[in-house]
Amino acid sequence: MAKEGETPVPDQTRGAEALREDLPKVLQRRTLEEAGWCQPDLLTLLIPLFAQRDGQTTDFFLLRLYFNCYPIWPPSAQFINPQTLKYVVSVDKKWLPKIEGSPEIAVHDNYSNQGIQLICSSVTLEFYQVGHSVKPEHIWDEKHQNFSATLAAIRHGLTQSFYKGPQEARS
Amino acid sequence: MNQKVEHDDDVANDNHEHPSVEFVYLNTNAEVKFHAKWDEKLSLIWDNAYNELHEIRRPNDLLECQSGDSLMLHLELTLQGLRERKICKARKFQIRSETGGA
Repeated sequence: MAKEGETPVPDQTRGAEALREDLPKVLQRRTLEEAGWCQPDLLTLLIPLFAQRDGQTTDFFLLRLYFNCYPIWPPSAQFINPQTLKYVVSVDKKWLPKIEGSPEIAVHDNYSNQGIQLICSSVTLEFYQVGHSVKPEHIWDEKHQNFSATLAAIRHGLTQSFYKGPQEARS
Repeated sequence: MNQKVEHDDDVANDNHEHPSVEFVYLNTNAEVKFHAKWDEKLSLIWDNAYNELHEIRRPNDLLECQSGDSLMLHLELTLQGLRERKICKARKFQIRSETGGA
């Protein structure tokens, strides 16, 4: 079980099994194709997300979930460049959403100059890997959460109340 | 936990004596559908949803319409009150747990 201050330990076999078990629960009656998702390997999901700003402009983002420490810890969550399927600090900032004013989530393009993207929310793996402070009631609970919680938190951050556009202009 | 929602479209039947309500538990994406009463308060129906979901309420749980609009200021309203105010008319709700971060 996840605990504040502990370092997540990868277990790819367990992660793949847990993803295989949880994927139908999160998809409900849909297939991967119907949901528009892609699973390039046993530990990875690519999920397109759309966010609307100004009531008219819709922006596209690609979220990569990686389940190497799952389900003890939440999945790794990273916004990636849809052309390279990677995130490179200082190059791919335009593929990150700007989320402002939410007490629950933010997206840092280069967290504390450590060279990593951080979707700062207690339902992402990176949140624990950087040793972010966390209230007890927010700690990941594998018995009552699966990666649906991660998606719900990110989608909530992309609602019009908080979403302010890509972090850098797209040409 | 994973009782499936039957898509029989009767959720829109406002004339039913015991209107159906739907809940999605966003922590797991589990769905339940059950019947409530028009004079039941939303807070009670929310409690019943946890029983149906076989989940317990977390201190940071929030009740929303599936549109994403918060219902936390309307918990004392009955289903009838929600209907009269045209709030979450389809009676499709979601339970979201607040997260830490930012």
